[in-house]
Amino acid sequence: MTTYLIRRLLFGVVTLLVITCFVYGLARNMPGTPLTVQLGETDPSRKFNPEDLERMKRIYGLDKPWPVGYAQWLGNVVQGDLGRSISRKQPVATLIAERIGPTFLVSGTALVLAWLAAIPLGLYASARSGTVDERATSLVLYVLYSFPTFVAALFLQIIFAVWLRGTNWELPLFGMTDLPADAPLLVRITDIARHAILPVTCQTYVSLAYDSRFIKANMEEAVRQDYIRTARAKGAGPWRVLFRHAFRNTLIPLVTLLGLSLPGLIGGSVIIEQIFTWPGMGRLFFESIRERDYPTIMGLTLMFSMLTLAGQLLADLLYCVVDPRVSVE
Amino acid sequence: MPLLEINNLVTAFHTPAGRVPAVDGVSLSIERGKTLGLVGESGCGKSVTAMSILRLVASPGVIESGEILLAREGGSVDLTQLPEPELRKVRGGRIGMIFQEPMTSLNPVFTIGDQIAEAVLLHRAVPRAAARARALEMLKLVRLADPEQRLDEYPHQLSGGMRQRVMIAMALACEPDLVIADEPTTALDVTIQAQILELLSDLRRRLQTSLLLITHDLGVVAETCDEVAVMYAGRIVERAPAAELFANPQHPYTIGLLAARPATGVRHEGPLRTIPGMVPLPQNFPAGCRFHPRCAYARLPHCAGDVPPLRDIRPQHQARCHYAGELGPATGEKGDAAHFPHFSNAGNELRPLFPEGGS
Repeated sequence: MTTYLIRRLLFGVVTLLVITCFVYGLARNMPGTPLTVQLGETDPSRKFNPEDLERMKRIYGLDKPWPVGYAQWLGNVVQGDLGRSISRKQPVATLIAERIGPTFLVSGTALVLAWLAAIPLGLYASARSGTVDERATSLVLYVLYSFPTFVAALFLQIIFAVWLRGTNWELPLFGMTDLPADAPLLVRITDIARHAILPVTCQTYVSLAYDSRFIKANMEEAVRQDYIRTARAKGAGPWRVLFRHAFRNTLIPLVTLLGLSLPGLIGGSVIIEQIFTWPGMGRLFFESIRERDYPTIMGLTLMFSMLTLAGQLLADLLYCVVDPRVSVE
Repeated sequence: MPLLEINNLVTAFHTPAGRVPAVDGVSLSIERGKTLGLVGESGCGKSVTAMSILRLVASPGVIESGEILLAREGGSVDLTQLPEPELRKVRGGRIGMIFQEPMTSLNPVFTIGDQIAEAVLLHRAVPRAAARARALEMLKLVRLADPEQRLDEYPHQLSGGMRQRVMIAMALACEPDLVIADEPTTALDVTIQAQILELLSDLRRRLQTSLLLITHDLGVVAETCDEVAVMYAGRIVERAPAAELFANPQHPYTIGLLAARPATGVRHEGPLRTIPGMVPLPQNFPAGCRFHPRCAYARLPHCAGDVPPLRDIRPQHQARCHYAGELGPATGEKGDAAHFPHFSNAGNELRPLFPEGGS
């Protein structure tokens, strides 16, 4: 077990090196630098002194070739320093710490809701496979799955923030809160919850549709197995066969799916956070790329990569728990 | 009154291509404490017959007609009409089942002990610990090595033969009146096959259980069964006590099957005898006698036109052939299986027992 973990860890470190090096190279070779982006956004009539520009380049280390820059970044990271954001003048670690909560609030809630609904839905669909009501449910789920979130988000905004304005059903258009930080806690929580409803809905329905189809497909695979026939021949009832014998086997692929959703839990959805102006990680990532904010891009890349690897490791370890045939040895 | 009596069972599969009658009017009966062998080639409907008894035929298979009467105190109950909750008491309770594929018939995520104990818990109001004790007792009964240790192992840790022992333990855990064993040894090594069969016969005797043994292996039938029913293309073609069937086979198909067996203790020269042609698929069963296209004795158009009834040929011996009892030298007084010409000794060319029949 220990050797296995050490091997996985070493492999993970190598993977991280390759990913970060690749992303750093790409980022640095994108057209534009943090400075040109900032210059482009300031008053065009204002002229910059070329010497000032050179000086700023030196300050941010942009005068050196990218491999040198990467080596410097790596050296700092190893010492626990993710660097300072160029465009936001704040440590990258602070930025991430600020954004991680809001993202987790939306994706965590969405994940729990999606799974809570997907498991009964998938079981229901596999138990009633082929009937009219199951086909109708499947059709709705397929439509939901293929319905793009950005379209759904806009519709939800129109319905709840525009058409229903002034009614009890009105929901905020975007943002996370309208209240100052010193508002009473309970009021603030209610306000944030109201803001979160639409983003959570958007993020939930796609996962729900996908997860329930995934569960149904795996359940249908499981109920075709010989051991299901054995269970029935023993005298087990339909629910016992479905839950105890089939679903227990379906957990094996589900664990993989759960492991894969871990990075999304913290990474958030760029599209949803952008549309709802949600101050989360996805939006930070998008903005940092637009601003060519290399330290932030790299900090987030490192974190997402680590989460992806951790998710895979977690899935593999859980795999051993749910499937007695698998062992890490 | 027999323990189980099947009358005119018809089980058909309703596929997009049409109705496929895999079992077409099968009648069988099994006496208490006896072993009935149901013999036939792959695809003849013997497994579907077995699955029909416990109504385990998978969709789109449907039991269309017939009755399956299971004796009980003061009469009998028709399993085809029994409501599902009642039927579940029969499954694993009064009738245990052993399947062909020990490798896949056990649930990979539960321990051996759990799976046997589940069978007990489903039918007996006993505490979990008692069910586990019963599971251990059963593992000892089926002579699995290290039963205490095996109880907490998973199926993948056991070999095929060991898994089949576990299946037998599970099927017998609630002391059923009848055990249905659907080709229990087909998937196993030859050496293990004999052990499993011996175990099954031995337990059946000791527990006074009836056994329906489904097999395509006539050697197995000869060693294990009291009665034999031969199935061909969805119908029973011959039915007799085992000794009688082997001594005086009446249906040309049975005669062919017996002749196709290699004799033991004789050096084989040349190819074994075969029955020409193939088992017809249920979607295109021939009219009349379903064996007539492969039968050397077939007389046309009679055999292709009329369905022969299953009729008494000799005492306790029925066959479904228009000409049974008058087939000529191959079945005459020298009817003993040992007297059939087993091999062609002349060269290497295939010499079937029967010349090619018209089809």
